[in-house]
Amino acid sequence: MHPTHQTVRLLAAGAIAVSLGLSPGAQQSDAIDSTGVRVMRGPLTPEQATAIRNGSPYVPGRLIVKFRPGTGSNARRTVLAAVVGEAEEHRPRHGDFSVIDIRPDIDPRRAALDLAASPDVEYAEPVYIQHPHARPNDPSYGRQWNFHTLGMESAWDINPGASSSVVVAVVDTGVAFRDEILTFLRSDGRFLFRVTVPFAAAPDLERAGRFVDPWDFWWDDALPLDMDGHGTHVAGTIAQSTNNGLGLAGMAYNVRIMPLKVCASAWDYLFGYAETGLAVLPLDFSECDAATTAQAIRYAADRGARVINLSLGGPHPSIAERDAIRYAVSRGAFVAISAGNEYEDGNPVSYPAAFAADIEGAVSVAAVSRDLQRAYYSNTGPYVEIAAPGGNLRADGNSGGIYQQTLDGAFFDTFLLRPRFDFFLEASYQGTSMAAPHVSGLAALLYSQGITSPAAIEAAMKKFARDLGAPGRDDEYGYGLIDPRATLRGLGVAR
Amino acid sequence: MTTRAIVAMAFVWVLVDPAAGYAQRAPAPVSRRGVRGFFDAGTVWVSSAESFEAVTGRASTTTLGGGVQITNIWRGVFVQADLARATMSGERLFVHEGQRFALDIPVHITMMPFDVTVGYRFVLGRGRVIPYAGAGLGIFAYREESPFAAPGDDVDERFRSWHVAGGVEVPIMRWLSAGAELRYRAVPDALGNGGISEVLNESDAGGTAVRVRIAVGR
Repeated sequence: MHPTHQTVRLLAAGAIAVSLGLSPGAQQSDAIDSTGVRVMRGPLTPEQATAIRNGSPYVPGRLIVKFRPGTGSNARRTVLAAVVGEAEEHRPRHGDFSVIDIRPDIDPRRAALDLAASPDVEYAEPVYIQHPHARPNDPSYGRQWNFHTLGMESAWDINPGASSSVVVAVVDTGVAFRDEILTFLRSDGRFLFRVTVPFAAAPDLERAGRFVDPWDFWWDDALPLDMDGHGTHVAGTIAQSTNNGLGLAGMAYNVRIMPLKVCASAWDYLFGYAETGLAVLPLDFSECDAATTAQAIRYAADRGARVINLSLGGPHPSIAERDAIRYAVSRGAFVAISAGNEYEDGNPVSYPAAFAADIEGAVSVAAVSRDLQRAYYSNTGPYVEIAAPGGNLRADGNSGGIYQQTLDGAFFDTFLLRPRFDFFLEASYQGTSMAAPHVSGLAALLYSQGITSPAAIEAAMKKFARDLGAPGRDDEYGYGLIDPRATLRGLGVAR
Repeated sequence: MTTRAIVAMAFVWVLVDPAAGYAQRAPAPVSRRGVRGFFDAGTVWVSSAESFEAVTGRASTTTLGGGVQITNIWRGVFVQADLARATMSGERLFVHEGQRFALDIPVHITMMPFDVTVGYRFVLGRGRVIPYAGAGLGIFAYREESPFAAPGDDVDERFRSWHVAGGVEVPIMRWLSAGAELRYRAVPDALGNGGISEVLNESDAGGTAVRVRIAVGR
């Protein structure tokens, strides 16, 4: 490991305006204050972060509003003043909507309904909270039954790992993509002190030129370092180095990855909001908000991503997110979205997955276990379009999960004062979060093979899917399990 | 039946009705039964044109063949058996809303029709131009191969076919004649159960062929 940079990350309370105004792509030094301290300019104030930790389904004191074209600034101010009184409008760099900061005592859902009634407003909605669709289990070594089930060996005969010209955006908790040593503020509940934290690139993922245009939408800099493991695991399924004599394989192992952090993990919170005295969080704490995700989707599309993986979601629809997905598809990016893990929790409709059913070029992905049955957690509904391996730890233990290299959770448990993010293991995860990157990997292979339209990629996946469950499309498996070899091989005249 | 089939049958009808091509019927010369071998070459336009165009970039290809004909079985009646071979190459693809995405995986198609034809040769005038027409049944062998095939992916099947044909032949020497023929062949339900032909709803593996022929024998 070769440290390349040493900085301090600090929370800059109330820096949201700066965050929304700054453009990703700015120099990393822009995020360092005059004392050499690196500041978090993420999307939430400490009060908002606290509310979300306490279970708020949306960001308090904030709205997403899209005004109709031609609505001038005076008219916008008038509309906002009439409904919410004092408000501050921000235009995200990567969005066609406005983010409105309102008084925290106003109910965003009520305000959104009132604003939506205005003829000058196309839509208004709270900034809903979403979560990554998987949780890590105890680490263990195992076999990648998922790739055997999908017949990846014969698929790689046709297309060995896709082309490095294809960029896949992993919109997630970040990716362990480079070596760093960073200094953060850490609270033990009483005192505030500095901790120096090492980060490393995942050895079985990193290679020269692998990562492009990284961006951290929480810290607002170009270091979307994973402090959770989820994003690194997802990236591994898509592109883990293969045939390198090390570790595990990935679906499309030659592609380049665009790491985009939109989900803050426990450690993002513990470091970012240390000044509030925040000392402990559950390790599985992680949250993403729809406004940030929508910006990241547009960012990825604008920077040439051909595939965007969204292994996240929540029960509330966000029009901003839907429009961002449509925008990405219109720019030639295929979008794979996990269908959600809440089947046993009421099986709510999961967004943004549910949008995919109406967007040709975006696909919602259900999960199957090793026996090709729907995984017990995998949501069902008319929006489910395709299925891929997501694993089932309940039935098969660790061997039934999806193995990829990711961060070793033993070294960053939240009771530690000084975590490390430079130890890795092959970890077994389950979830529709794990299913979606299989579809993203296949999309990258198909793009390399010559199917360059997102809508055609979706159509090809559905046509060649292996039908599971009830004959034809059904709500559990959609059109069935992806079949990479058959899809890559396409059609002749007779067969 | 396709337009090509109708055109072919009309052509055959013209040949069968000598009055359409000749003002006056001449008495047929006394002929003895004979046996001839022939070779032919030409072009075949496939009936499932969209499917073949999508994969190979064209709807026609060269056909080569040969056969044996027994002439004057009764008057001008002849019986003929012939075998032809046509090949086409292209690449596998995916089609979505009319847009074609080539997948850089080669496809090799071989079509081998074996036809048995019963027909009639109209020996007119001094026999310098002999029209003929016929119809028959056959076996159509269709093979389609691509790399990366799993068991059952490639196609190597035989189908029943029927055909109508008509043409003219011109004696060059006593044992040698040349001719030209138009043949329409139908191979129903050979395609359309998979591949791009299923997408495009085309099922006939036959087509219309124009061939020139050199025959040796009486």
